[in-house]
Amino acid sequence: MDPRSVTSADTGERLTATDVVMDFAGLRALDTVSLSLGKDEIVGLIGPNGSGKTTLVNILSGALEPTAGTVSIRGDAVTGARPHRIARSGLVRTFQTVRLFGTMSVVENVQLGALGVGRRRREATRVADDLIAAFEVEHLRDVTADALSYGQKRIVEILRALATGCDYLLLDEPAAGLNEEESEELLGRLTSLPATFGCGLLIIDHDMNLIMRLCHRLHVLNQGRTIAEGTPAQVRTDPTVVEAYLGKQASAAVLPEATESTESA
Amino acid sequence: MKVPSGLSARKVIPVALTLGIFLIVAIVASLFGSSLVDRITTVMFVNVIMVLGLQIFMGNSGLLSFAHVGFMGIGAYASALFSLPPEQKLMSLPDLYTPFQDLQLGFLPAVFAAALLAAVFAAVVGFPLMRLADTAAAIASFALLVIVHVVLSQWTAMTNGPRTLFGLLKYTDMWTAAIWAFIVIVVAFVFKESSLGMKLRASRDNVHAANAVGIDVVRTRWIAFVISAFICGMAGAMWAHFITSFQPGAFYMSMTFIVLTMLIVGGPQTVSGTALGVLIITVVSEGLRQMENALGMNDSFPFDTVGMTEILLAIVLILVLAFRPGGLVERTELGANWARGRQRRRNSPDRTEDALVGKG
Repeated sequence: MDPRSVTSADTGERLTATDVVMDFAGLRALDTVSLSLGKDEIVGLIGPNGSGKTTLVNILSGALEPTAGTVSIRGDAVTGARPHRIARSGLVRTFQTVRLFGTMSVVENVQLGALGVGRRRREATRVADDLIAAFEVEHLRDVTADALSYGQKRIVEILRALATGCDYLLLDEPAAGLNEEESEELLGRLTSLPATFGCGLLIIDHDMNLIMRLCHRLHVLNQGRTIAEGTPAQVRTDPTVVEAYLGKQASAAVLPEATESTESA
Repeated sequence: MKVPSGLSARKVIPVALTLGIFLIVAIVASLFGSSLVDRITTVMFVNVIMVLGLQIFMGNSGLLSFAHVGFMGIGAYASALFSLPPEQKLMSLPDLYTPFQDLQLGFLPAVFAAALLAAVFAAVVGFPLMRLADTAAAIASFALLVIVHVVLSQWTAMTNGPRTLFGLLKYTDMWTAAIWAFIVIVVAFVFKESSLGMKLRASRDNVHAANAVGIDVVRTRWIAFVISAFICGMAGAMWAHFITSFQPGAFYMSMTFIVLTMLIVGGPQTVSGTALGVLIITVVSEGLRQMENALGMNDSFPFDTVGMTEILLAIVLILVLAFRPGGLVERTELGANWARGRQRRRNSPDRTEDALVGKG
C-alpha cells in the first residue's frame, strides 16, 4: 500500500523533503531520503542510533545545508535557508538536549516564541498566557527556566515552539529523560496538537510505546536510507525494520507478533 | 490586564531604587561643595552613561566588546569638532579642513551629532562583526579599538594628532551629567525589557534556540551595537566637555580597563548591578588614589607607590571573576525580589522537585 494514501491532502500545505543527500567528509549520513508532513498529521521518524534522524531534522530546520536534494514548505524551496528564516516560514524544532533561555522566566521563554517570528509584544503576551493556561502550567509562569525540572523544561520548550504559531513542529526526542508518568502526560498533550493548533508533528523518539500510539505514520531510517514507510501496524510487521532494530536472531524472540504476521504475509 | 501586580512592581522597583541611589549620591555630593568631590562625581556620572552604554550591548548579548571605548573617543573628538568656536579652532586645530572651520553647534546639538557619528560608524563596521562568535568577536572588537586609536592619533588635521586637543568649553557640570545618567539608566532598563532586549538576551542564553524560534540574531545584535555605540559616543562628548583638553591616549587601554572593571564587578547582566559597579569602583579607586598619593608623600613604603591603584583594581577584578563571575548583582535586578517574596515561597516545592527528578 502507498503510505501517502494514508493522509488526506497530498499537495500544497505540506513540508516536503525530496531526495536529500548529506555527506560528512566522505561519509554518507543520508542517502536520497524523501519525507513529507502535513499540517494535520503526526509522523514518527525512527531508526537505530546513527541512522541519520537528527541529521535530517538539522537539514529540515536549516542547521545543515544538504549536499543534494530539496526541502520545501508549502511548495516554496527553503533548502539551506538560515534557521531563523525557516522558523518564520512555519517550521520550528525542539532539541535533543532541551535548549531554553535559562536566565529568563517561563512566560518570557514562551513569549519569545511569538516575538521571534515577529509578533507584537501585546500579542506575544496573550499567546503565552493562553498556552500556559492550556497546558495548565500557571504555577510555573514566573519561575526561571534554569530552575525547572527536566520534564518541565521539555514542556516549556514545546510551548515556546507552539507560540511561534508554526505549521510544522519537529520534536527531537521529546520523551528522552522523562519518567513513565511524564511521558504518558506528554503523549496525551501531543496527540491533540494537530487538531488544536493546526500544527503537524514530526517526532523522533526511541520510546516505541510512545511512537506507536502517537503517530499516524512512521518513516524508518537505517544507515541513512529509508527502509520502510507506513502506518505503525505496517512498520511493526516489516521484516527489514525488525531486523534493523534487533538483528535476525533476536527478532523472533522479542517481537513474536511481528514475525507471525511476516510469515502469514 | 492579566499581568499580576507583582510582575510590574518587579520591573519598576529596580529602576526607582537605582535612580534613588544615584540621586542621593548627587545631592550629597552637591552639599559637600568641594571641587574635588564635584569632579569625582561628575566623572562618575559620565561613567554611568558610558558603562551602561556598553552594558546595553555586552550585558544583553553576552559578547565581549573592546570597541566601545573607541566609540567614546569618536564621540569626544567629534563633539569637539562640532562645538569649538571658529576662533578657537585656529589655535586648537590649525590644520583643520576649511569646511569644518566655521562649523559650530551648541552643546547639546554637538553632543547628539557626535553620538550619531559614533553610531553610524558602529553601524558600518558592526555588521560584519556581529557575524562572529565568542572569542573571534572579542578579538575583532579589540582590533577595531586599535584602528580607532591610530586614526585619532594620526589624523592631525581633525584631532591635533597625538598632542593634546585643548580649548573646549566646559559645558558639562555635575547635574548635567547626573540628569543624562538618570535618562540612560531608564533607557537601559527599558531596552532590557523591550522585545529587542528580550530577543538579544535569548540569543545570549542560547543562540541555537533563538535561531530556532525565528530570531535574526545577527540583526538583533547589530541594532543593539548601534544603540550602545550612540550612548558611548554621548558619554565621550559629555566627558570631553568636562575635561576640556585631552589626548587620543585617553580612549585606550586604561579607559577600557576601568570601564570593563566597572561593568564586570557590578554585573553585566543587570542594569542596577552595572550602575552600582560604577559607583563602587569609583569609590574604591578614588580612595586608593588618595592613599597612593598620601603614601607617596610620606615615604612609608620602601618602594614607589605609583600605579598601586590600578594593580589593586586589577586584583579586585580577578577576585570577582573567581568568586562571583556574574558580578555583584548577578541575575535578579536589585530590589526585584521585594515584590515577589510571597511568590518565591509558593514556587519552592517545584525547586525541591528538581533535585529528585534530575537530568536524564
